[in-house]
Amino acid sequence: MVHTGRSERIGKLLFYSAILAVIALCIFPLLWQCLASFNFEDKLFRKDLHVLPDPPTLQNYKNVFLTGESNFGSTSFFRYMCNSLLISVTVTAACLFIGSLSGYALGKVHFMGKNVILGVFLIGSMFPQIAIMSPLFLFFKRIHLMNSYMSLIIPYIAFNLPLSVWVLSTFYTQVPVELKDSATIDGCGEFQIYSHIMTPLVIQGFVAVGLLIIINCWNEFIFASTFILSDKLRTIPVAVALFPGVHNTLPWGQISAASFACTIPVILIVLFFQKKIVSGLTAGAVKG
Amino acid sequence: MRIVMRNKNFISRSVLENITGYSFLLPALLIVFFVMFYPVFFTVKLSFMDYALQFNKKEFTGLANYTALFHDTQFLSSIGRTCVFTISSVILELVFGLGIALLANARLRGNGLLRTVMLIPWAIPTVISAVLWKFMLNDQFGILNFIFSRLGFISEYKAWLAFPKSAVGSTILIDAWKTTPFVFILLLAGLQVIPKEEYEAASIDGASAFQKFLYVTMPEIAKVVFITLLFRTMDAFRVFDMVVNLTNGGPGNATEYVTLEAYKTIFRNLKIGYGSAMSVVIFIIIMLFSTMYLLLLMRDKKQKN
Repeated sequence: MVHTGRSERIGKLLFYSAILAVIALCIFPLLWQCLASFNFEDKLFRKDLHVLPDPPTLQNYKNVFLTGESNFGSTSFFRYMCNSLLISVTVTAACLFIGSLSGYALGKVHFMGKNVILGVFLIGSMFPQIAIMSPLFLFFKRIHLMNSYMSLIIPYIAFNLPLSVWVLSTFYTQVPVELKDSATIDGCGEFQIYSHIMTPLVIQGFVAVGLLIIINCWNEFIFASTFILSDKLRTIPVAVALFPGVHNTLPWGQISAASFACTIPVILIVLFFQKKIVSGLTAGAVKG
Repeated sequence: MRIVMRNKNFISRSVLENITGYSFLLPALLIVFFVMFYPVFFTVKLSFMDYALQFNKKEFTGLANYTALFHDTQFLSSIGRTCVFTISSVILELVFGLGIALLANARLRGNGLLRTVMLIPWAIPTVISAVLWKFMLNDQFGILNFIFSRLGFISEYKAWLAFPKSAVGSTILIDAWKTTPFVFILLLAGLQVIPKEEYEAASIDGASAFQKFLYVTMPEIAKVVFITLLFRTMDAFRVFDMVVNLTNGGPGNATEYVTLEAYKTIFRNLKIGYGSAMSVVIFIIIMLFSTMYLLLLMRDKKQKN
């Protein structure tokens, strides 16, 4: 009995230290970013770092978000956040609308070639973006859409549609068929069934997919850095990546402040809506 | 308002449903076609040309770009580097993702916190985490050098990103750090579906913890593991955001992975035809993996139905 107790205790110790190690590894970078953002810049550029800001300061945040001494010149970081927000929300709304129409059709309407259509969406989502970029670049240049919000919104909608369609169709399939049948008997047209009966029941799916789309748009980099050239229209990832400065003269305090301010909303959303996001991810990737 | 006939006119009903179905699908199909399928087709067309954008001069050159690619040591070695990166990164993610998922699946306190905290690396935007790690790996005031030297792991500060081996290692570890949560989520979902009775039955038969893992856990999650593996391999091969902001291909060529190479060829060197050929090669490699993934999913769906 003593033997079992001891090995059990060692097991538990290992278990908890493993968990602690994982938690530390996950949180540490974010924690450091937070601490660095509240530190005076000159305190960061030293070998004998003071890890805890002493004294803490809001100077970095002031520089980044209010104009004046900001390294960006006259553009406050708020501008970039607004750009990202505008694009993300527009794309999400469009994807939810278009995706739910398709999801409903795939989930509840009987027609031929469903698997083919699903396959088409899935294959499309796997195209490497580099293979799509140059033709789109040339095309947007020709129709003078380059360097505008639309030059990002249109591709983003396309990239997020497969996920939306895939996940929403799963949700629509789960709605009981009887509801559609009774609505049909009552004389509802297909679109009315979609808008008034089915869609209100899949709000869960909307939230799950919507969150994933917003996160995708907030993070997107390769298109954002190539299609948007003027500073005023820039999105957050590009703004952070292009912070003025060279190697060891980069204003790390300000970069940390800007990054931390833009990361916190995403983290809060992810933590708050954990369950929904996970259900969206697993539905999209595994269950199919 | 349409009144659908139930018994009569069976043919016209299904025709109506077909029309309805496709009209609902039309917006999505149109967008996906014009923004994804048509550009890929156009890239293939461009790859057979020599396109000088500055002079707006297009010249059909057939397979010239591809033959040049096969002799391009820079491109071939970037494919090799990308393979090394992909394999290492995916193995790390699977091992750690599975390990942590097993931890989270056990019924002891700290689970909920672990699951929540694991999402954080995934939630941080890729670019921001790349810039953050660049800061932490700095050779003069990086926090990592600070911690390592205080703990006695290294004697003096190292320029991690300035040497090829450590730069490549850094990209692998940072990518693993960023995407293990994703693997963790999928594997945990797979683990949680395994009925507890199977473990109990194995216990009654006298199985040790390790044997339970080998004979109960592994077979049940084999499918999830494989799908996750395919998914992550495709994604890792396409790495761009993280590398471009961490090392931008440096030092020298050490972290010049394939997508980065193609991007620079098209948008810096403006060799659109040649870069398009590179893109097509990348596309083919990715599609090989995605075909496997699709086949697996389709077969699984058939089994369910």
